[in-house]
Amino acid sequence: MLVLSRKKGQSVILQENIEITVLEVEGDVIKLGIAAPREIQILRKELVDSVQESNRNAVSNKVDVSFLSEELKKISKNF
Amino acid sequence: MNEKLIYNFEEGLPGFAHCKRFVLAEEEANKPFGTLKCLDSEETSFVIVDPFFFFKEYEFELPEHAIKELQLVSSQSLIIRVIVTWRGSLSSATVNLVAPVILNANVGLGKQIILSNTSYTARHRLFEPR
Repeated sequence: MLVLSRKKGQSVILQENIEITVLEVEGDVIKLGIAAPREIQILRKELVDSVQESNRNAVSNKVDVSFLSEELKKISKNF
Repeated sequence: MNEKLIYNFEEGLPGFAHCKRFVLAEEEANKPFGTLKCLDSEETSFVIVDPFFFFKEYEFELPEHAIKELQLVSSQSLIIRVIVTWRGSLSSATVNLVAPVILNANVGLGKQIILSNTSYTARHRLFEPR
């Protein structure tokens, strides 16, 4: 991992067209500004982790969807 | 529309990078539920559902990178599904609305996108507990 020190107002450039600027430092919170082309996807890592975890919880080796559609009919009657 | 088309997921699914080819199976009798089964790894299947069946107001902006990657040119070939997590009963099942599965039925390309700047999460209950 590359480690760089930056002060408030300073930036790093990735791939010529992505600029990440340190906008504000307050205690243990750092505000970053990211200027990047629209097609670049920028996500908080916690969100990516939550999707991975959700997928791992959802996976199964044998799926009987007819069971679910039957359950749905029962539940719908009670709503 | 072919109901058992093979979809290529170039980057796999988050957490399942090795799963690149999936079959979407949706039988009329079991709608709105279906399965997304990975062809690269046995025993890897997901239950999927049409999100609009349960969440009429569900909406998001399809990111540009996804439109490009899936070669989407018209909404006619667009299929949107979400992954269901359930253990034992449907009443406590949750769906992942922050990461919908987007499919282009015309070319057989798919991707689970992750939405930024929405209030959706990976765990929305299909039925609120009473």
